[in-house]
This record gives sequence, structure tokens and C-alpha cells, in this order.
Amino acid sequence: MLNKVISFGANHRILAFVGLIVATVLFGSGVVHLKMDAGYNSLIDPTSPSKKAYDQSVELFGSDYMTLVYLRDNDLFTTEKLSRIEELTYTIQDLDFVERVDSLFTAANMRNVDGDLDSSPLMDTTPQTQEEIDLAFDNALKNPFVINNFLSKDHKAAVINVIIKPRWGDDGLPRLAYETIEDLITPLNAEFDEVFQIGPPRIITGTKRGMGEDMLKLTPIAAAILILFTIVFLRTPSAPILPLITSGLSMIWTFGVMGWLGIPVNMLSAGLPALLIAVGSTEDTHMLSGYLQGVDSKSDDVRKNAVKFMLKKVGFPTLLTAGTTALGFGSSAFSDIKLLSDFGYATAMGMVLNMIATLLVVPLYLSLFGPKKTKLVSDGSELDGFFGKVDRLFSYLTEKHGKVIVALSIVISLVCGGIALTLKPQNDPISFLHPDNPIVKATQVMHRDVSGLQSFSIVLDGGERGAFKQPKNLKVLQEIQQFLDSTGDYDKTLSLADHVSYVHREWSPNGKGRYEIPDSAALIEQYLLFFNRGDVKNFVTSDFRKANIIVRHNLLKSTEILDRLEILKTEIDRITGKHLTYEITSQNLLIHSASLTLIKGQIYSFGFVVLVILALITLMYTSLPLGIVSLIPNILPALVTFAAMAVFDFTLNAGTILVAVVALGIAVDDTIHLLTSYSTYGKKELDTWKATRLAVRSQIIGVVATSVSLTATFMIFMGSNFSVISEFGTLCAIALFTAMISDLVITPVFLRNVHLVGIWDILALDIGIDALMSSPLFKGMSKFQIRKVILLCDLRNYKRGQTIIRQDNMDQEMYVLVAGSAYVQHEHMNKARTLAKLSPGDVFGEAGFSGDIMRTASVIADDDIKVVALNKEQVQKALRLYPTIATKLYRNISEILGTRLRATLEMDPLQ
Amino acid sequence: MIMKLVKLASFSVLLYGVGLNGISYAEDLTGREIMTTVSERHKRPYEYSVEEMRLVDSSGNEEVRTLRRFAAELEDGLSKYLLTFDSPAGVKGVAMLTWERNDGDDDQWTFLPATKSLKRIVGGGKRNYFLGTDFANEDLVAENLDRFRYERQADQIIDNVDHYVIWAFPEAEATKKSTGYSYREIYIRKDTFFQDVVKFFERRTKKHIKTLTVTKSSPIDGDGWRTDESVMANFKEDHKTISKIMERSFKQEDVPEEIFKHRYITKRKHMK
Repeated sequence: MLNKVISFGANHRILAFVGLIVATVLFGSGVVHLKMDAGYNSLIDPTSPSKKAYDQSVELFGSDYMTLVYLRDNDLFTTEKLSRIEELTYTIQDLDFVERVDSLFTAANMRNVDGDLDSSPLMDTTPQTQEEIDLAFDNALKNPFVINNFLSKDHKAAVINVIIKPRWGDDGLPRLAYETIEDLITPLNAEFDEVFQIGPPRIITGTKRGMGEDMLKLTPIAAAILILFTIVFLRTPSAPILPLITSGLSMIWTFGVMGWLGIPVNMLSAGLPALLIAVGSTEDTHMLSGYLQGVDSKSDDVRKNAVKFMLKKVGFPTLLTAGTTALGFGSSAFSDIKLLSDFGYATAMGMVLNMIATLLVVPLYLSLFGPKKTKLVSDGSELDGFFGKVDRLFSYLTEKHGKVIVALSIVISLVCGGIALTLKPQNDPISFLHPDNPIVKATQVMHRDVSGLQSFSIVLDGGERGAFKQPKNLKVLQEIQQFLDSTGDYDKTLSLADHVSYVHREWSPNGKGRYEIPDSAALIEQYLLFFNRGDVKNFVTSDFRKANIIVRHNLLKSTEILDRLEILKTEIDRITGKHLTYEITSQNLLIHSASLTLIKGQIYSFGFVVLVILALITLMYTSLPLGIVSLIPNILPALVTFAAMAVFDFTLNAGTILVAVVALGIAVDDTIHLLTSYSTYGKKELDTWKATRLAVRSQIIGVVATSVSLTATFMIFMGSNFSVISEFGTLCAIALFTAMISDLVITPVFLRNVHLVGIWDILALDIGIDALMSSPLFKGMSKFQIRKVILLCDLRNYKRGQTIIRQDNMDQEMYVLVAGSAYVQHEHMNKARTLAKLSPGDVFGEAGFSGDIMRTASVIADDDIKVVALNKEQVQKALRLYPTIATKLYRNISEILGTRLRATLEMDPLQ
Repeated sequence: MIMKLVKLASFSVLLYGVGLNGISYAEDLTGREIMTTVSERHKRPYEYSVEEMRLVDSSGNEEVRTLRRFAAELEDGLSKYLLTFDSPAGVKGVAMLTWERNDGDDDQWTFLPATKSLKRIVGGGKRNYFLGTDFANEDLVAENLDRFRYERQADQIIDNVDHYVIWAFPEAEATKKSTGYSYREIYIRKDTFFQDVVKFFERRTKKHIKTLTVTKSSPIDGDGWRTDESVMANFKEDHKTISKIMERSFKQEDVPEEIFKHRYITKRKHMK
């Protein structure tokens, strides 16, 4: 069945070709439906309880979806500049996607003018005279809502806060908002020293553009690297054609299916084309390498035979490795973070579709156009040139320094694991960009001059209507704000306490009263009459039960902000005496909090992939110890990578967190290819050292070629517009290169000491097992265990008349006849006498197992037979991974030898 | 708005003037003439009322306030107004006193009983919303016809009733500076010269920000009419103020002149 699947492309060329065309048309038509997602919601865990608190906060206090327009000029407070700001404020206010605009021209204001109260807006029209300008400036400095909000600390920059109507599901809104506002502010560059906008619309639009640029920039470079490396490594100009065809097809299919299924491209999956070229091409490379090794220019049908050889040699492992790669990428699909789950679905789908494309295209193409000559040496032969040197180097290391390698692996794992524990999680859209990105710079300017772009709300619940008209509760707000200000970590805080304190100060006889909450509840209520609902709706609910402290800051590192929040919570508990309940929330905090979900999710994903790989290899080779051992060369690179992250000061973010599991998924491919190859050679070559050597030699081209080209391809991600992708690429490159080294160094050290038998060989063993069930050698074993013993040990075929044991020869093996019949013959004085007939299950020559022995009779095949030869040393090595079977076999051999000894003693009592 | 209607009514001297001249003549009226008629027809020299105001936010939350209004046209021909809250308890005694002035910049004071002080409100604060309602302070003072330019628009039929439609633009410099509106669109019933809808357009953006709709009205003595219930719907703030007249009087003894004095208020005599 499996063979039919693998060889479908070669056996049904027309069908395969039609299938490719149909699939391309069907899937490809979905490409037009493909969407890009750079929204913040994809960074949030929607299942988090904090999300509910955030949604409720937005419902109660309004949207925090805001863009800030920054206008800086040395002569800001002039009629000319202020009139431009006024004009811009009202023009923006007219835009239909704008919910509200706050600026110097809308700020609520309260001013004591010689004992009278002027509650007119700070500047609802541009002041025309110097006197009016001075008054406006003076008012601005005294207004708690203005400094660090609408006016910079140095009074040279004004900020217009544009609150955008949240239109959920409107993917075009950020771009519309960004471009419309950009069109309005661009002409002002000529009039102001500096003008820019910053906020989610710009970040999201910039991210989307970056994603598009990444796709256009990285994909051709990845293709170029692929072409270069495949030509260099496989030494045939036609080598790049196959990977280009398969990755091109899988790209169309994947994006098409994503379009049909509504899975958007995000900043992580923007690298999908490059990934498909890089990762997808490994299967092509392995297959092509297999084909080239099977090329025998002397054979009558070179292509057909080479394709057959290729499918036999690498077909199954290719299927398997494509599966593990898809698993590595796909494990993220279960993440609660949409960014990761979309990436997981997209990449896993891409890998599976690439596998299908590869299995259809490669045999089809090679059977029609495959090269008939190759400069590569045939399978298992000594290599020359670069690969010969690499092969000899790794052979030297594994053969001469095996113990050192094992010890070093353990030490490196422990050290790197320890360093990895120091890694800090990070999840913030700004941190995904490079530090020199204009968006990042704009946020820094905003933080330096006004207030950071980041914000959160502290929503306090007073438990009853009118709670926040009470002095004690307003004083709680003020005390929390005072604490926040005292830490120096936050740029600006605002609450209802500011409104009340502000009026209280200005109502005082000369306007020089204290900026504080009065002790009279009636006074507070009367002060509040000076504000209409619109002035305070962001700060208190209409029933005055819940109040909101808005905090602006520039803490970009997730751990930094989350650690400070813990301190803040302790302080709020102390201030409130726990008589008020509260929530600290914002979209930004949800994103930061999701960093922990991110880590947890990836630990589960990593564990899941490890378990699946463990189960797969254990099942494939029916050995749990082998499964465990084979993980070492694959987990080690992940640990090394994490340690490198800590050393390079990378954080654990949405990109870097993927490295471990993606690298594991890709790196295990090499291990599977090596194990498969080793089990194949192990059947022919009982000497495990030689078998290992042959396995490594047959795989080294594929392993090195794919690893080096993948490493190089991942390195091109360093050129991404996103630091998150650059770091992902750098770390994947490190992981894959390390995986290659560890696979070629550590895996052979383990292989040299074991025999492997694949489950497919066990199941395929064509032998009359029933007859063997009664054999004393297999007593107590299941049919499956018997098959395994037969395959692990030396299974030999003899033609009728051939001698298995020769009388008077010395040897040290015992045998069991597993198929056919034989007879025991004693020769004396040139006369041969048959002593016994042997049938399947009969054990003979058992004395040889305990050491060198002179044979007293010959055993000759009566027809074409199969026997298993058991040599003490070989059995020990072969069954090292299968202790249960080993115990049964040794017990049975002991019983056989004991019976034999007893029989001998009975024949010769003197002995 | 109620105060504005009160003020307009208080100027109506000729109770039947326009009506006696017949509709055919009315069709030729200018905006200013219509507004003059409105003012003259509904004017009363003294007026006292008790009102209930319900402030309703976008979520349907309500806050109920009761207040008393006093208006009087004094000997100098200028009017004075006092508005004072009786409930809820926290705002009881809060008062706003307005003295009309000839120069177009009326005087306004706010009294907060908790501070025991009366403070003059200056500058553009008059276009601020009045003490949490959807009425701006300027909505609550007399409309001096000389301070506005009235442009008559095409008549409209609303609920089967013919209406004059007039746009009122600020004309006087002081008014232009202090008003929060670019213009108002006033709907006046042709049958009674009673304005039952006013649309307000924001000063800067010229956007329609709120509408006052008289939902219940009744005739008073002569040709005059008064609003019994109205809704000021503020679209900009997604908020509305529903007013209901609980009690009304046009007797001079209900509006003694001394209530408009500062001392009367600071001594808390206005409080029940």
C-alpha cells in the first residue's frame, strides 16, 4: 500500500500529471481570497480571563484604539502653528472612522481669573494676539490633562489623540486610518520641524507592508540559495529544477487553501514561501540524491532503475520526515495565540502539500527527464572531494572519540539547559520590529517628549452606585496615581481624581488652592457638575460605581511590565485595604500576558513533538531505548539554540519560541534518514561499525546538503523587516547547523553499538513462523519477538547440499533452522552416516555458543533453507536495545545447553 | 432651551398680531419677522416653573434632577434668571444666576452650596454644557434678536403641521465669539408660531450635534404656548436630557425681584 503511494508518480505518470494540474487550478483559485493579518488580536489569548476584563473595560470606558499625531516646532505657540493644529484637529474629527479627537483644542479647562471661573475650552479657536497666546500657554501648563498628554514636557510638541471607532472585523480600517491621517499630516512637514503619527494603525499597516516586502525580498533569495546549493552539492545542473517545481506548486496550493479556509498570512507565515523552498526542498534533495546514487549508466533502463532504487531507498523515510517536519511546524496550530496557530496551520499544511507535490512530481520528472549520468559515486562507495573529507572527519571523531562525544553531549546539554532557564519572554508588536525602524523611533520620541505609546487601565469597582463621588474612594485613585508617579516607571496617569482636584484648586478664592480631593462628598458632587458626561466617560461609569485610572508608559519588555504589575497589585491591595476590587487591563497588557501563554503553549508543543517522535522511532524500530537515544542529537540543538538566545540577548518571543519545535521537526529528518539507512545496511553487514560507516556515507550528501542549504536559507531571514523573523532565522540556522553536527557525530556513536530492525522488515519477513513456535530457542516468545530475533541475528540462506557446519572445523556459533530441512551427517573412515533430520525450529551446533568448539558432525542443507546463526558477541550487541527478548533468548539457550550437557553426561557417566 | 422659550415668550406683547393679519400675509414674512412674532406672541413678564430633568446616557442609565426656574423682565427692559437644583441631595442648592446685559455679554454666576460661594462664570464657558445636562449655558439665556441673523428656509410639513424653517446665525461679534453653534435650525408651527424643534450645529465643524424636540405643549392664556415636555438629544455625546414641567406660574408674586440678588443666594434663601 505504502509502496503504491510512494511510487504513484512513477507508475501513473499521466494520472499524476493531471492530478497536479487539477490541484493547482482548484487550490490556486483560492489565492485571491488570501488575507493578511497584522492585527493585535492575533497576539492575544482570547480564552484568557483578562480578555473579558478588557472587553468590559472598553465597553465601560471606551476604545483604547488610538493613533497619536505628533507635531513639533520650536515656535509651537504661535498663531500660525496653532491654527494648523486647530485645522488638523477638526479635519480629523470629521473623518467617519474617528470616534473622538482630543487635543489642545478640545481639552477641558478650568481657570480662576481674578476670582472668577473661566471654564471655556483651553483653546477652542486659535489665539490671535500674543496676549491670548500667553494666556493659552499659561492655562496649558496648569492643566493636568495637557502636559505629557497633548503637550510635550518641553512645550515644543503638540499631540493630537485620535480615538478610532473600533470596527471589529474591518481589516481595512488600520490602513484607511493610517493613510488618511498621513495624507493630512504630510503637507505639514514643510511647516513644522517634525510631524508623524504613531499608533496601532501605523504599526499594523507598517507590519503588513513589511510582510509583503519580506515575501518579495526573501523568496527570490531563498530560491537563489537553493539553486546554488543543489548544483554545488548534487553536481547536476538539473538539480534545482525539481525543488523549484515542487516548492512553486506547494506555494500556490498552500496559499490557495489558506485563502479558501480563511487562514490569513501573518508576520510569521510571511516567510512561508522561503520556508517552503528551504524546508520543502530537503525532501527533493534526499530523493534526488537517492536517484543519483542509483544511477547505473550501464543498465538497460537507467532512469527506471534509478527511480526504483530511489523510491526503495528514500521513499518511506521521505514520507516519514515530511510528516515529522509538518508535525514540528503544525504543533503551533494548537496555540491559543492566533499568530502562532495560524502560522502552525499554514506551515503544516504547506509541508504536507509539499510532500504530496514531491511524491507526485519527483518520480514523474525523474522517470522522464532524470539524468543518466552522475558525478556522484554509487551507493556505499568511498566518497571523494568535499564530502569525502567531511565523511572521514566525522568517522574519525566517532570511531576514536566516541566516549568523549557522549560525555561532551551531556555536559553541553546541561550547561545550555541551565543558560536557557535565564531567558525572558517577550510579546509586543513594537519589539517585533528592528530598533532602527521608523515606527520604533517614533514610539521612542513619543515616550521621550510626551508619554509612551503603551497604556493600561486600572479599573476599580466601588461596589455601589455613586462610590466614586465619595472622597475616600477618590483619594484611593489619587494615592494609586501618586504611587505610580513615584516609581518613575510610568509617563502619565489620569483619573477622575484629577478632574475633581483640578476644579477644587481653581474654585479656591484665588485659584491657588491645593490640588487635592476635598473631604466633602457634596462638594465633590457639585464640582462634578462642571463636567459633562463626555469629559469623564473614559474615567468613570455613569453610575459612578467604577472608575478608571489611565496609565501611559513605555515599558516594552513583557517581563518588565508584568513584574511591575505584580508590585503595583501589592500596592493597590495595600492602598484599597481590599475594600475595592480592581482589574488592570489593556490590549497591550493582554499581548504582554500572552507571552506566558506563548511559552507554556510552546513547551507543550515541544513536549508533544518529542513524544510523537519518540513514539514514532520506538514503533519503527520497536525499541524504546532507541527512541530515547535518538532524541539526544535533536534536543541538543534546541538547548544550544536557547543558550545562544540568552548569550545574544534575544528574548523568547512569538518567533524565537518556535525555533525549538521547528528545529526539532526538521533536524529529526536527518536522524530518521540515518536510522533507516543503518537498518538497511545492518541487514547485510553484521559488523555494526562497518554498517554505521556505510549508513553515514550514504546519507552524508543528503544530510550535509540539506542542512547547509537550510542553514543558509534561514540566514536570509536576517534580512527580514521584523526583528522577530531575523532572530527566528538566525536561531534556526544555528539550530540546524548544530543538528547536522550532532546527527553526524552523536547518532553514529550510538548506532555503532546496536543492531536495528525496522517494523516493516519484521512484518514483511516471509517465514513459516508457526513451526518455530515450538522451537526450544523461541520458547515463551511471541511470533513478533521471534521475527525480531531472526532479523536482528545473522539470517543466512543455504542452497540444497550446502554445508552449514563442517565436521572437524572450529567455530563458535549455534544455529536454528527457520525454513527448509537439513540433516546431520557424521563421517568416519570416509563413510558418511546420517545421524538426524532437522526441520524448522530445530536447534543445532548449540555447543558453539559457549566458545570455540571442534565440530563432531556436519549439517547439510536438504533443500534451500534459512538458518539463524547465533554468535554470543553478536547476540549481545544485537539485543542490546531489546532487553526483554534478550532475557528470554538467554534463558532458552541456557536450557538448551543444560539439556545438552545432561544428555552428554547420561551417555558417558564418567564425565 | 426651556429658558430660551420662556424668554422668547416673555417678549411676546402682541398676542394676536400675526394671526389677525392672516396666513397669506405670513407667507411673505422674513425670518426676522417670524422670530419677532414668536417672541411677541409668547412673551410673559414673570415666570416660575418646577421641572424634572432626566439625564439619560448611551447605556440607558438615568439620573433624575429636580429644579426650579425663575425669570423676570425688570424695569430696565432686561431679564434676570435663576435656576436652582432641589434634588438629588448632593446638588441641592446649586444655582445659576443670569443677568442680561445690553452689550451682548450676559453675566452668569454659579453657586455651589458646599463652598458657600458664588463665582462668576467668564469667557466661553457659557457654551459649556450646563451642570451635566445637554443644555449649554447659552441655551438657558435670553435670545436677543439683535444678536442673530435669521434666514428663512423652505417651509416644511412635520406631522401634518406646516412649519416655518429658520436658520439663526450669530451676528454680533460678542455672540460670534461666545457661542458654541455655527447656526441653529428652528422649526416654528405656522398655526401657533410656537417653535417645537430646534437643531443645533456645532461652531467649528458645522455638524448637527443635538436636537431639541418639544414632545408635549399646551396653550397658556391668550395665544401663548408653553412646553410641558421636551427632549434634548445630544448626538455628539450620545446622551439626552428629558425635561418635564411639574408646576408653572406667571404671577409676579412667585418671582420676587430679590431672588436675583447675590446675597439672597449666598444666604441660601433660594434653597427650599
